[in-house]
Amino acid sequence: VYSFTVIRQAAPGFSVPYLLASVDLAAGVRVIGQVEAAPTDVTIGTAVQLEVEPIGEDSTGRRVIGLRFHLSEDDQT
Amino acid sequence: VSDVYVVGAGMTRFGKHAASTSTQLGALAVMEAIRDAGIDLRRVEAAYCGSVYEGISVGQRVLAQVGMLGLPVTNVENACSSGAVALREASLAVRAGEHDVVLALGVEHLTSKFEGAITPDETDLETIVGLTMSGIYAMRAQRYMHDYDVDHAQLALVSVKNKQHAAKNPLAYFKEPVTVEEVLASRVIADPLTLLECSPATDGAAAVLVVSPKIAAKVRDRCVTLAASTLRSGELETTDSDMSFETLTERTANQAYERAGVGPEDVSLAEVHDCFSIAEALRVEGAGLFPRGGYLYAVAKGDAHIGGRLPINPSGGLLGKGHPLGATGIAQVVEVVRQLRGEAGDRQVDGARVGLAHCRGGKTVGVDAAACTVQILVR
Repeated sequence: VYSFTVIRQAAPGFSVPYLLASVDLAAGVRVIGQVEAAPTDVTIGTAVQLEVEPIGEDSTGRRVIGLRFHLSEDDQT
Repeated sequence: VSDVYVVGAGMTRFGKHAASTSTQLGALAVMEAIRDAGIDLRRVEAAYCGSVYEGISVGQRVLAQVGMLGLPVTNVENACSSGAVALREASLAVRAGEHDVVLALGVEHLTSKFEGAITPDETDLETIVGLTMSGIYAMRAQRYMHDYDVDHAQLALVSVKNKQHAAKNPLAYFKEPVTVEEVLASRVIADPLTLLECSPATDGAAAVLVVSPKIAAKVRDRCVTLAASTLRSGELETTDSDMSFETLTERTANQAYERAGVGPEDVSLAEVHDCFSIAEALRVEGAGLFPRGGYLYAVAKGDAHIGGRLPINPSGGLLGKGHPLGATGIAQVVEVVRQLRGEAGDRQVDGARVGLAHCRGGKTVGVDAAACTVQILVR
């Protein structure tokens, strides 16, 4: 995790609060996504794993597939 | 290539204008700028209008209100830099010798379009996963606080300072100063940023007239030289990108210093794009006006206040004055012009000779911003 925040005011359609992070991937790319974790479990340097999975629904009720992070099982920090 | 001068400046009060439209606000700002210039409006040869959410041909709608018809009008959208880019385009038209008198204006009626905060483009992958404008700056704030070992109370001082400046500006939205405690205790929008660290959604308009040396010679005592007006677009964010230092602002500012033949040490005051408290620190450090990681300590010492070593956002900035997107970049220049002419009243910066205005806004997937502008004005 390069940086993170807890979003408490979001666009319509999102239920707050949620944890959002900017994450440096080993491949040299920095991407933004939600983190499936308690806010107290994440700080700068926390190791997370990227998953591509359903992250919610759009305004017509269709599933939205997106990037989401989970706490890494083997902590690299 | 011709020199360019800003001669007339006008702006409306920034705030919630429920009873007015953007067209009406724009017309008021245009008339004030033209009166201030002392130039007949029939002498205006072209106009550039910045806005973000105002829809089709807002510039023509504003100008029809004041009877300015037939002239070439160009509408400009460039996120939060829209007004600044309208001014840059106007200055290029004069520099190129195409026109002698060109109007640059910016308008926005934000409160009729959004309930709360504006959102990034909803088709962007980052927006789909839940990124907000406040979220972007919250992550920058977390990283800055981590990298430079500063705390939230130090960051909140930026909001306190700018609302203190705004209280001296009759055109600003915030009328009363706030305390650090009030900033920290206001509702959290995206950790750590609170409501009082976010620029308020407001309505407003601003306009300036830019002229060639031929015209400037007749109204010399009203003129300020627009010595540089630079624009750059955002840069790819990689794992090498530093969220706590803005290379985009640095490059845009360095190009402006080079064009203007001045350095950051020559700047008497700056209006910078403080859309959030953290943004002001990133802007002034990126532009070389304060050392990296040092700005919040300078604010605590009073260096960036009116009366300090280098006043930042004497108008109140976006945090104090308000942020009607398209109007913001022009309003910054209105303040700089008034400061350089010695017409800023209670906010006057003593001995102001060189003023800098900086805008930066927008974002798209994987890129740190849409557009960044720096204008340098010299008296």
